[in-house]
Amino acid sequence: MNPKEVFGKNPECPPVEVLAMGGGAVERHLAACAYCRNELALMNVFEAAEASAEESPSVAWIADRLHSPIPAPPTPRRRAWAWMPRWIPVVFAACLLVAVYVAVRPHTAVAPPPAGGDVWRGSFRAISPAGDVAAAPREFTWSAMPQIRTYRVALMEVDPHEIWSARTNETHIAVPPDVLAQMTPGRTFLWQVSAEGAPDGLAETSLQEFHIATKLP
Amino acid sequence: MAEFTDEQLIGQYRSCAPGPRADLLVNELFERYHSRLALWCLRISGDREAAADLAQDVLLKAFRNLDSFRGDAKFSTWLYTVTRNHCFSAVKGRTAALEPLTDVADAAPDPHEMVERADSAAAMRELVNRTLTETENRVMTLHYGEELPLEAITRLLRLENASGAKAYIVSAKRKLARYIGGGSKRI
Repeated sequence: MNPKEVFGKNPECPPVEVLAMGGGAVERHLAACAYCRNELALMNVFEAAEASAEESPSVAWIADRLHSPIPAPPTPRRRAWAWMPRWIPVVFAACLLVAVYVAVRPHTAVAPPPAGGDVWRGSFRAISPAGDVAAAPREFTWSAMPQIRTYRVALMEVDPHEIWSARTNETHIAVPPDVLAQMTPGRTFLWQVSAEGAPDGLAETSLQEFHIATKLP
Repeated sequence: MAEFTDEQLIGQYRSCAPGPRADLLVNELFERYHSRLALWCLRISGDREAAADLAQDVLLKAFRNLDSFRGDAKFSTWLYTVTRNHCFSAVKGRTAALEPLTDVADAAPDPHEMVERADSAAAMRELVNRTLTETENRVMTLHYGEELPLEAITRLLRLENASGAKAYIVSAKRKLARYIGGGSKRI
């Protein structure tokens, strides 16, 4: 005979849930069954959980390490910039988009030419000569316009009949002698520079006027 | 959630959809038993690292089998059963064989021999129940019935005598031998 038949659970033993409920039949069984009395005593040990002073620190240590049996959802790896408030990347991305747009936008998108036949000029302007000048100017100068390599300069009478024009890659041009000879004292002239190859083809300076002073006798 | 009983927590858990609320309910339920599990597993294993692993395994097993809790008994009773079965199986797995007890300095026959000489298992159980003290009965049950090692029994029953569970095995054998080996008893 196996000792388990004597000291182990026998077929008449009820489950521990039934033992815990008590009752007359259970009490009678318990009186005759050492196995079930032991089972009930162990359950009471579990439920009482009275740790000795020696056991208490280890129990606390173990309990601290227990965690939820629910499998945690996979967490994304913490990024280096995880400390940053969430709105900062959004603002950064928006600024980046604006910067890229400004860099690649067509220039007309910023200040398109008005519909009335006028032209876009911006800071593109004729500098000198302007106003009253003592003598016929030997050079015309104007401001540069971004992305423009060729300028066309035109000199006109006030009627405004064009008397001379020339092209250059610089922002200044010397007046040829034959034109210079036409700019006699006391006369007034107009001049204008057009930027060739401008995105809209219409970039030009305002008409600039200069008057050559009359020589005193 | 402290106002809810274990059984109410389970009821709410079963009635709500999977999600944060369900997780919260289950966590509350099992956290109530962390200390109890820790103590039980510590006594079974005798080592806090092993006990922590054992207790975590029990928590996982209980969670996975929560559907089998029918509410006929208290949740604590159900969890005790899960804990007991898991821990006893784990300890048994580490114990190759029962303590031979050959070094015990007495002439009493081994329980295996004694059982062989008894008329029947039922008669033997009656003899054991009548002859042994409650502690001797519990030690014999846990060692020969559940096959737990003596060290685990000593810790589980909080036996504070010098040789722990082994002393109770010796005294139980002597008592039983007096009835079976002496030939004077008739069961």
